Amino acid sequence: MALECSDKSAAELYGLLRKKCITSEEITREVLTRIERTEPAIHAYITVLAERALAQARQADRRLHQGDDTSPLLGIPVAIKDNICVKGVPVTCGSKMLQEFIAPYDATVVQCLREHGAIIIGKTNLDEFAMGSSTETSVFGATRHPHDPARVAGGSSGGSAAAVAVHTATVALGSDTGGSVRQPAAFCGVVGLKPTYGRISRFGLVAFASSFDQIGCLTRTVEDSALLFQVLAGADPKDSTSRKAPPYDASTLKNHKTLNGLPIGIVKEFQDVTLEPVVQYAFDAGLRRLEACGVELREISLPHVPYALATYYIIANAEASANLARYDGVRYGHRSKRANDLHSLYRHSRTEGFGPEVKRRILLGTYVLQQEHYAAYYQRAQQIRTQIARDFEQAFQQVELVVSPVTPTPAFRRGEHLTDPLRMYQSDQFTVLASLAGLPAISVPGDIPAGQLPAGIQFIAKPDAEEQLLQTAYAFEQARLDSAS
Amino acid sequence: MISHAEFTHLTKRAQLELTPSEMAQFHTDLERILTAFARVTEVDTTGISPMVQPGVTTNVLRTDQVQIGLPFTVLEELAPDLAQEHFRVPSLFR
Repeated sequence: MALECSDKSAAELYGLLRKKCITSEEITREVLTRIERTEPAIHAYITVLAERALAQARQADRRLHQGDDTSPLLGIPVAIKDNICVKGVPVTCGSKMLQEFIAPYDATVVQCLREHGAIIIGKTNLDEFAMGSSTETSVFGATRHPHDPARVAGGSSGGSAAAVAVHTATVALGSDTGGSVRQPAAFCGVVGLKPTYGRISRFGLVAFASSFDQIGCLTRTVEDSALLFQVLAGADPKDSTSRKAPPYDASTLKNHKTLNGLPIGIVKEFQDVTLEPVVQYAFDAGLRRLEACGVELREISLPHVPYALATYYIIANAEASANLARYDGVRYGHRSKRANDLHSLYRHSRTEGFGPEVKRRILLGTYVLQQEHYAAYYQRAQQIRTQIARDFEQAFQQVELVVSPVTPTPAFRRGEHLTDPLRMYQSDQFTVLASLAGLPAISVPGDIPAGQLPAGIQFIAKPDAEEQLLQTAYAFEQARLDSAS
Repeated sequence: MISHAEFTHLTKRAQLELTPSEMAQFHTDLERILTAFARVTEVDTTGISPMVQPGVTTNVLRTDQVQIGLPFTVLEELAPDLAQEHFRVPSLFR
């Protein structure tokens, strides 16, 4: 058929599938063909599940034929970041440590997608154990930027963002610990939603930093993020940190087409951050567009912003060092052949199994958790985290949402930040705030001059205010598209 | 800032065996990172409670019921080395 169905959003495919203009098998075959064509240049995937996906697509077509109208994702190809378990499929975390590890069960989100009839097309590339901002530290090699292969796709969900951007998945799952959904979304020019901490179950997500980790959505439109979030959100008895919040209903997305009178905050402390010209352009244009939509922009203060990046990296790496202590070569994962006693088995297995960035973070985390440094670094960072959450509580008495850039730069060149960890960490300075406070946040493509790399606009909302967050992002997106057409 | 002996001790605690060049690189990196992160000590945190997790204020307890975990046949497929339904490891004592 002539229709390029892989270019359609999930919402568009929903209508086409139900009108029988197309079948899920046709969509899936087209996506698989596109994967074959683009993967040598992009490398978004670690594992492509072609046969399984086609079997699922035929099953979805049977459900559609029987008039099943229960799910917006029935028959839609979804890519899964490779730190989320899909039963019987490798879950490598982009690491030699788990290169041979086959997931023994489905993550709750995967089970949910299966029940809704989504097509699991493959597992996407990521920074090793989701620790990075460029998807360069994967043992399987780097994912490349969809518009410029000399640049990175962002990270750590760079594979998912790139797959959505080059239309080798209609939507994708990522995980966001300090910005790992929003930052690659901004780099690749797609939408990235990090829900409130606990709104989506993490059962079956390989742990990096447990007080931050959150599964999120990467899509080409805000509407698709809303549909995916509707399907995935909900409390899960298998994840004690999941939240009992009212179910999200994506049909509320278009209820508020106008942003007239909505107070949105601009963070005073972010004005000291130097933005690269294209990011500054996108942010300024975004603010002008919000004002044109009737938004009341107000300056707000989040006094602990200057400490946020250090606070995040101290706590996240402390948690990472504890979570990754389980990889010792005994029960699963890489086992060294050089070991001659139990302790050398631990050391050699971990030394051979982990890459440089993971080792660096384990060392940092181990350092700040040592008794003699605990109070100065770890405990103090946890206290500043409380202060950052309070800063937001105060700000949200004046405004409904906060707007900021997503990153200070567009996608940087491959290798440019790889040997300078502090420079790499700077990429997360706008995204870690919502992570520290556990707030929902979304990255939406901003206006950019012709021929420039994408840059994103971030909206941050109150806890469990995904409905307002998505409505605002949708109205912003529509206003941008209307002016472009 | 961090002595060689202290850094060596840190690698042992982290159960990592680094080459001399890795030792030098990671030692330098760690000092740079900690110098940059030392700004957290500027903040007055007197009387502020540490946040362990956002939004979680009460313990979440399951009912005290036995639940079936993954069967051993699944786990053994993941194990690097098994002997009589046990994970085999090198000897602890030399």
